[in-house]
Amino acid sequence: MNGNVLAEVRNLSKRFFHSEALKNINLEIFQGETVGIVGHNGAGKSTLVNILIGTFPPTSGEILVEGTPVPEPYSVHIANALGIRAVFQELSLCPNLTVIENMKIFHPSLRGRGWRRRAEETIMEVLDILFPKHGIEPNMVIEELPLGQRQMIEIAKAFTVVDQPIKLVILDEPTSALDTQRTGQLIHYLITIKSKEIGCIYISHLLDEVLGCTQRIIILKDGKKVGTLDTKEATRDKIIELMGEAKPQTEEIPQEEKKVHAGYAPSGEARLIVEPLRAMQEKVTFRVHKGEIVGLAGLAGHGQTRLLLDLFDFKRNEEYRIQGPVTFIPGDRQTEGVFPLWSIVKNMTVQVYEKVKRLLLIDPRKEERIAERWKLGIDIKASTMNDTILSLSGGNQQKVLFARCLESSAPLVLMDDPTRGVDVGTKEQIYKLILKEKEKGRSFVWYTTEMDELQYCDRIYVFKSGKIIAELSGSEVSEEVILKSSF
Amino acid sequence: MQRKRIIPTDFLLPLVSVVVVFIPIVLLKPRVLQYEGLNLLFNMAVPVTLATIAQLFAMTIGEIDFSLGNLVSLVTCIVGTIIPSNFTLGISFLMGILLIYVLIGAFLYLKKLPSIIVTIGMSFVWTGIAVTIQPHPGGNVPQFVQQIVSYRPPWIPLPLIYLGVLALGIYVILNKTNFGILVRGLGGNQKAIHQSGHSILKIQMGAFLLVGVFGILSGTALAGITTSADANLARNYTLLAVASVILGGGSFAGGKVSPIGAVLGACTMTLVGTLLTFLKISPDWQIGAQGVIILMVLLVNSLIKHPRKVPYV
Repeated sequence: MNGNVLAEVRNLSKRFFHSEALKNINLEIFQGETVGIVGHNGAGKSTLVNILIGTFPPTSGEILVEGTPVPEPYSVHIANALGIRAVFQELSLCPNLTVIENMKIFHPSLRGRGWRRRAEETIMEVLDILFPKHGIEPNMVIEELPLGQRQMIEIAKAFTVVDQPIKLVILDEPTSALDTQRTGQLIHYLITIKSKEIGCIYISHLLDEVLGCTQRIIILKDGKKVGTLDTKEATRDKIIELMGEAKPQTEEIPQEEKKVHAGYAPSGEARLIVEPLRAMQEKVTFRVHKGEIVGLAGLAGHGQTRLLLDLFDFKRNEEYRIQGPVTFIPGDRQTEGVFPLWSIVKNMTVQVYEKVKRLLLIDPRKEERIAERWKLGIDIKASTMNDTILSLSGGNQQKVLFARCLESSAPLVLMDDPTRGVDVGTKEQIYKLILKEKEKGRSFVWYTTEMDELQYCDRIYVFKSGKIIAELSGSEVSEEVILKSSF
Repeated sequence: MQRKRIIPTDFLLPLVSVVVVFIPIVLLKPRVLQYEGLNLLFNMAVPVTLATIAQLFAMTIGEIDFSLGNLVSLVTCIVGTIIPSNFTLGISFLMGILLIYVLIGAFLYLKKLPSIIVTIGMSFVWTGIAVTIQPHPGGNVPQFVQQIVSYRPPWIPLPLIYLGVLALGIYVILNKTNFGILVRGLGGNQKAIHQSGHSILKIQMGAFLLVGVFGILSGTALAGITTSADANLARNYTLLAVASVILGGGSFAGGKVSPIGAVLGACTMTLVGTLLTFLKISPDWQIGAQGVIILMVLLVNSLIKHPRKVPYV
């Protein structure tokens, strides 16, 4: 820490509706310093970054740049002008434009005669320093480049200086699309920041990277800062221990009920609902037995949803034999789940037209009977079931989606993080429902980003980079084991 | 370090489709290769190209103008009926149209409305005004307008000069100017434009202004060629222009357009009609045959371009 505070946040908090994403965060970034921020999915890392660069405002607290509070209303544009830049996982380049055209959009002051030459020199200089032998030409169109090169441009763009000097560069999972060699080049560059007048925030799930390029590491958990470590003294185990610090249990469901089949040892008699068609190369093969809850864990976006979609397309799946039909409960209910213009009843019976048919037409009374049964059964809070589905709260909409899928006779239920954004009370009801259906012999494949939910699973597969890297049985499940295997 | 130059190749496919349609025309009527033949063959391509360019600007930012054909027809009525009797009034009408286009651009952005609905609404407005001005086909298109499209320069027929200038001019606007890059960027990633501090409102208003400008130019050229004012003269231009942009390698997704390709696409669309006439296919079947040809070209396009698959989500 050699000198001035570049940026600082004081008592920063952020609430989204009912959930508290950040609680009283205090943070200082010094000149010439790279600070690592680590934490599990949903720990608040992205929220913190988005507030720092002005995507959305904090609920309370303040941001200071070189000791002065940022002007209100703070926005991405102002952050940029103050010299705060961010590199995100989701790319912020215009895919249809060339490298230098993107530079022009990013730096509006590149105009007038010779702007192309200046844009080219600026970006190429940084690219050549950051990623020697990058193979990128200034006139290449972004969408024709592989993801790795796009990410390299994205990172380099954040370090380009045209008029205002840069102060703070925030790198959020910058290496997700980079190979080992390029990652090494980036880390090497970040180490040289010590001698420069800028600061850096490095966010990554890959702890070796964070340990390799930072001076300090801040650990977030559930929106709170749970520790700051000097990188010299930090170790992987120490960080994981802080990240996974157990939080007080509030569940009503008793432990023994959660693990009806704890340590479930699939006997020869248990029928396989999903089985691999041929012996696979990998050590771990995915399979699902009748009446089993299989959890998919690991970091978000590492292939869990891909597997669910492949299983859903069960007739054309070339890798597994699947006892169909299957049904799918999405977590992103607004885009994948509800029919927003339809009533609750219609939303519920859309998968079971066979059950509500009378001759060739749909019988509304049969539909209503099904809807009323579920309304009482899982306590859907609606005045009448003929109201539009959008009149329900998010949690109750999710219950309707569960009812829709469970009303079908499909023996296999696929769940894509189905309790995303659902309040605690509704979650409990959903867990009970899943356990009840399991007792009846239904099988579940459950992708969840919440550690707590994995304890309902009989077996768990941990994903990394599109592959299953570990299989854990119910009794082995603990946050620590999963964190260890996914990093 | 010496960097490689990259030459755009996105107009090659539309060029092939023009050639594929042009060759049988030449085989059937070799005289089309003469000055007079080329003049007649490409004359009608000029207003179609101008309408295509108007549509191109809308589609570059991911919008669409479904009132374009009605606008072009209205302009023939203004040029053929109002301008000869009251020049100032005629010009004020055209300026009013441009103002409305700028407001549509702003309105679509501020109210987050789909352009397809707003412009379908506008199509009724344009036709309503046109029918009021000119209830039956007729009019008296001024001499100077007719001369703009019938002038005979030495060596190269006028329509080919216009088409060449338009292709290059629009290419320069979209690829070499500040505004053009922002317009294309807006179609590609609106967030990136916004985060860099550019005003999306202004860019969108500018793009819609150009839709209006080229719509008016198209109507003027059409009035000059046909020497008539007709409220229903160009109603098929709306979809003709969309098809030309797509044939030229553009896409509905926004940001991906090729000006040179679009001009070639408009030529293909015009030549297909001529070819079918030369083949003595009755006008009753021509529209259907035109449709089949467009579908075939699009099928070939989609077979050549392979979308990349995301490895895992």
